[in-house]
Amino acid sequence: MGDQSSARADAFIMRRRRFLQLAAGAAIAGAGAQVLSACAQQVGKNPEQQAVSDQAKGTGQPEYDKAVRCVCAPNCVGTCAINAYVKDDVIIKVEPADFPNKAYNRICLRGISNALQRVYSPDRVKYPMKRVGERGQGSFVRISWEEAIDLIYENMQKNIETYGSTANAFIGMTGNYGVYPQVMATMMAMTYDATAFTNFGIMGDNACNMGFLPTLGVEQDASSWEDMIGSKAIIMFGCNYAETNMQEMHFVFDAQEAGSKLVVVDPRFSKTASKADWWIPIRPGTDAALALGMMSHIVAQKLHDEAYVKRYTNAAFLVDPSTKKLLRQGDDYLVWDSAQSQAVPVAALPDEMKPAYPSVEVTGTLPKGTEVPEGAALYGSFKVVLDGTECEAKPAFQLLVESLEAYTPEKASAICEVPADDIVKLAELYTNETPASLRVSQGTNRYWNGHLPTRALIQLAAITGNIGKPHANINWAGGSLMRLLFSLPGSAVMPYEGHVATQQPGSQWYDIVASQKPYPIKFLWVNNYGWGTQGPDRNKLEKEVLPQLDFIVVSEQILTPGACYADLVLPISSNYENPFDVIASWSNMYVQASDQAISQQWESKTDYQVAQLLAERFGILEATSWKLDAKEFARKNIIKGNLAPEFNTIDFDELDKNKIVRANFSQDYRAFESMRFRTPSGKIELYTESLAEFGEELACHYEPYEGNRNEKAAKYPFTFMNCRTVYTTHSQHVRLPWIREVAPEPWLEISPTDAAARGFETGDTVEVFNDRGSYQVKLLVTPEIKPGCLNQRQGWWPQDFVGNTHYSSLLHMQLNPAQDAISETNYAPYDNLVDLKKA
Amino acid sequence: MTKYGFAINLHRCIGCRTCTISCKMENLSPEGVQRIRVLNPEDEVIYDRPKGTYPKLTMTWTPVPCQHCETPPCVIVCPVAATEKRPDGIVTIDKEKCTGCRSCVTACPYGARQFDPEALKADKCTLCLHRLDAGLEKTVCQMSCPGRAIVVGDSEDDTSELARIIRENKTSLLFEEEGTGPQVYYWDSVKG
Repeated sequence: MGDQSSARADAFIMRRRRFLQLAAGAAIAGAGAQVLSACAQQVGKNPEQQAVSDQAKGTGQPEYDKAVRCVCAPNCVGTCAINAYVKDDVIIKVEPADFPNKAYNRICLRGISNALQRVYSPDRVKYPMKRVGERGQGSFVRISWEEAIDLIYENMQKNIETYGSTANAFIGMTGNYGVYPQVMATMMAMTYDATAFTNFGIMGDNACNMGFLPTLGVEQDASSWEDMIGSKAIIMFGCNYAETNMQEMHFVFDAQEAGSKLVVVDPRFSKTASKADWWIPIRPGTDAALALGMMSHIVAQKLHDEAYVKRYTNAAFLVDPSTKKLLRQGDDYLVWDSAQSQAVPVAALPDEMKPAYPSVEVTGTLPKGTEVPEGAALYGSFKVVLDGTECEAKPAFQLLVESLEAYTPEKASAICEVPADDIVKLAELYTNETPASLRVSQGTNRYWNGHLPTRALIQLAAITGNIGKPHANINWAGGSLMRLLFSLPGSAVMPYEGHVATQQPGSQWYDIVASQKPYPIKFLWVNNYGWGTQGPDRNKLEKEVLPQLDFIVVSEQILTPGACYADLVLPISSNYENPFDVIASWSNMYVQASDQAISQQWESKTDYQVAQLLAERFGILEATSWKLDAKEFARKNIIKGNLAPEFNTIDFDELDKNKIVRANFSQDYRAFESMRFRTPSGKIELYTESLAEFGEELACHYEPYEGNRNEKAAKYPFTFMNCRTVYTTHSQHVRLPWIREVAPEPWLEISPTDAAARGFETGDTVEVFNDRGSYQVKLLVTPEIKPGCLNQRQGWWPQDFVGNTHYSSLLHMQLNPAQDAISETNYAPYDNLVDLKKA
Repeated sequence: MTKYGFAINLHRCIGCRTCTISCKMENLSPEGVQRIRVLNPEDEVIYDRPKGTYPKLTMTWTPVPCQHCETPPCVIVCPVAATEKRPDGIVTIDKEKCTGCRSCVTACPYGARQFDPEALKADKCTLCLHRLDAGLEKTVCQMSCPGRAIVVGDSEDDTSELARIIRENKTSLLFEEEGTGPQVYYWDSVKG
């Protein structure tokens, strides 16, 4: 099969080249028909000498039939509008399409390689295919769509009859930012009363959200990227935007050129760090300690903003230190009014007056009772009699100040390995060079304690009065992507009225399937997810989880390692083939519609079309909203029925026609502008009583699960990071020929110090191992890496490593009880200790 | 008189190689041929490593297209006059005339010329003349660059962005001492 498919792919490439008869400029066009016919014989000639078609004459473009506006959004956070030039139903080139604001025009090496090489890859899943060999071997036979749908039906039906409908489970991820691929697993599980594994935790992006939720009441938000222009300082924690948000990095440069100082906190000398005015290397997984150290200095020097803290946070709220609960009088909180020398009530903001995230709209004026009196105490200890019982209560801020005693610059330095002087210098830079923008991102997300840095940074931004301020704020994620998903109405994910899924935490899906508890799960359908390389603990997956499953369906564009685990692989169309989808963005408030540039390749279908086929087989098509075509479903359920006014006021026809509209958020969007928060009190909650049982009522630091000072480090001394690169979005682009020209094979980065101590050199093949697994890879000795750390740039496939091994076998999925109380434990792929030896 | 050239802002180059790949797409370069190479401190296009010792490190990338020299050494050495400098400054190769002798590949001090193993001819950046001649403003590398590092224009036109950059900033040229008169102006908008 391999030979046949690669021959077919070669033919595709040849066709593409044949159609690349570029229309040269007027000078050559005027050279006459003789030249044209001579050149037309030349296949794949350079554009300056190629033939000219009448249509493309003088345009500088290749001969093409149509240019189609599409969207390239493979979970890289870019959501790039792309003009695809198509000749005879083949994409011959791509260019960035215009955004209404051209600062957002964008394309990259991955997107170009995707359109011209991944769409036409010999590794495309071309037909429905049934497994014939062992699971994971990748031996399949072609079957018809009818047979494929029958197989799914029979297996699901058997489980429904034998175990109940929840024995059928669905998990989807974010490999394609289209709304349908992203919510398809939920829609399917809902339709068939099945199990839906949530994906937020296992995705590895949830930790920052869990810093935001208790304090700010929303998972994420950020001001527009342009808002940085005007910041005097930009301080980044765990943000390697030059690789992870490469399309946004130019806004950082704009800000630097306008006078911003850029500070980057990162253990690695990342591409972003190389652009900084000040790079602060830090011990992995200890960013919270640095932020707390800064706060300790700020509070000691009274550099914080007391008026802001009183007005906008719950810092003045009284706490009973013995119970760690906030004092309450009825539904109200209490603060100590120094003017009256007594505790006085402060009411919570009524829910209907809070912004209903993802919307930011607010109405009404703040009720007087919600205001903290000016004379409210932030410091001290006060005798309060409540219901006849006297207690010694303290304002939350007093407890915060006390909590910071553990994080003086010296003590914080001992934890995070940033010199105490630098902690003080950074604190003063943050309070003097105002407005200062604070940004946190995925680097901090990837440790088991990954919610702590965000929590601490929010506390830092809050006590200095920065949240909601222009060119300042605390910024994490933002844009329209998650907002659109979070504001989908029930009708968008429940196509079959009266039928709902049973949700189970995706961060526990291995254990749930392996143990078959709390109930049997025998069937798994995976879509939009490179789970063969991007999940944790590969050995556990293969040895304990997969054997429990009777039938695995994988919907995929490419025969990935995950697709090779399947019993049935379904061919899914690429974005360039998809007749319609709605696609939002991490980095801006635009919403786009993708047009179809080329025919659906081979026998591929969209996820939505597959769902319709199955609904028909189950005999429920007409009874469900699967009967609507994808565009009408979107009109009704994604846009018109959307819960957020910023989205439901979008003119769907305008979106369909122009392919891009801006959701109705303010043009220069600033997060938390209303200064009303979706927390219980409606204020920024520095103090979170519900997390007291975990010792996390205030921001704090504790070690990563496999921190390099833990006992385990004696046996496995290296912190194993696996950062993203510009070369591939997770596992999607790494095998494409153009990408291979700039990233030929995987390499493991090690510091010169560690390499010398072990006698390793660049090019040596090493085995990296811990008690979960091992893999083999070539070394690159580079000073970019902090001694004691290793970095494997991620996304490579087992077949790229020596012996078909893979680094995901090293990575744990350890639950964090505090995170599970807030939302769901976040997968922490950098939080792993390993050792290595020459292979 | 038109004098085409590049200004490349090294602060805005993130070493992503989008320019390289977009050029390969636009100009159908065969495997291994890169008309604009992005060199790391070791003058390689792969395995980027910063210079220095942790934590005192620096990292820069240098995109290197054809420098469209004022006195191009490649023109002089071509035995069949396949290479010429157009009046607007763009150095071209006439692929019909080129015999693939590689004299120009050796002569270019910038490594900007490569041997096309499929066509068996010399190959290099044309400054996307098929686009500029058609009135399109940007080369593909310029249009595609995520960092907005690349500007192409006419250095003789005082109103051009290129002329403004050269006028207002400290710029440097590669191997200026060779006397080739390169027309790629490198600069750094933040760290000078």
